[in-house]
Amino acid sequence: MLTWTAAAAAVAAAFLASTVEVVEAFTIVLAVGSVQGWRPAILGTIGGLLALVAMVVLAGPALDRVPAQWLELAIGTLALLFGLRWLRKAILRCAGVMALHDESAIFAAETAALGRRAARQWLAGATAFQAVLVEGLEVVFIVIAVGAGRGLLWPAGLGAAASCALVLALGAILRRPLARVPENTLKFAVGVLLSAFGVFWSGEGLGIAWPAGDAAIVGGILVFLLASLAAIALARCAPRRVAA
Amino acid sequence: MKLLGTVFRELTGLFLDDAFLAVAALGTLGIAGLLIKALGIAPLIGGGLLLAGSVASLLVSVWRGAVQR
Repeated sequence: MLTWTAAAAAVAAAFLASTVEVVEAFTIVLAVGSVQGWRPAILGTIGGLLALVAMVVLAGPALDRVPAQWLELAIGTLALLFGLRWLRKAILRCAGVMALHDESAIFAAETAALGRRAARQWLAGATAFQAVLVEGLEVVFIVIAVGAGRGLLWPAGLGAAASCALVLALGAILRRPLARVPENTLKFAVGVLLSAFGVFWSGEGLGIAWPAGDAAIVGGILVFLLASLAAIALARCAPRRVAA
Repeated sequence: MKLLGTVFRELTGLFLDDAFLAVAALGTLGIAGLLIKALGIAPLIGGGLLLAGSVASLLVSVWRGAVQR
C-alpha cells in the first residue's frame, strides 16, 4: 500500500537526484548551443528524449512481469550500490579529499572542444544527444529504483519531471551553467536516501518484514545520515599517503 | 558503437566505482540472504546485519579512499 512516508521519500529522492543529472546534461547542451548554434543543440536534445521514451516504452512493461519479491531484491540491490557510490563520493568531496564537481569548468572544457570541431554541426548534435541520453538514463534508473515495486513510479516520475522543469526554466532564464546548484550536497542527500531505500527494498526481497513497515525507511535514512557525518570526520583525519 | 560503449560505461559506472565497496555491499547482501534463507535466522536479525554491513562497507570504503589519496 502506498504510504505518505514512502511517497514523500520517493519524490524527494527522484527530485534531488534528477536535479544533479539534468544540470549535467544542461551544461553540455548549453555548450553545444553556445558554440554551434541552437539548432543542433535542440535537435540533439529532442533525439535523446525520444530515444529515452522509446526505451521506457519498450522496457517498462517487462517490469510488470517480474515477481514482486525478485523486483524488490534487484531494484534494492541496484539502489544500494548506486546510493553507496554517490554517498562515498559526496563524503570524500565534503572532507576535502576529492575535488568538487565544477559545472563552469566542464562548460569551458566542452566549449573549447566543440570550438576545435568548427562547422561539424552533426557532431555537436550528437554531443547533445549523448548527454541527454546518458544523463536521462540515469534519471530513468533513479525513478525506477525509488518507484518500482511499491506503486511509487508516478510520485517518483513527478519528482523527476518537476526537477527537469525547474532546471530548464532556470537555464532558459540564466543562459549559463548552473554552477551554483549545490551538487555535492544534493549527491550526499540522494546517497543517504537511495542507500536507505536500497537496504529496505533488498531486505524485503529477502523476506524481511521491517518493523513499522514503510516507516522503517526513515530509520534507515537516519542511520545512513549519522554514519555519513561520522565518515566525513573519519576521512578528514585519515592519514594520507604522500607521493614520493 | 562508440555511443553504445559510452552508454554502457556510464550505466555500469552508476553502480560500480570503488570495487571494494561494490564487493562488500554485494557480499553483505549475500551473507544476509544466506543466513535468512538457508540457516533460518530471524529475518529482522538478517535485516540488522544488512543495514550494519552496508554502513560498515561505506565507512571502510571511505577510509580506504581517504588514505589512498
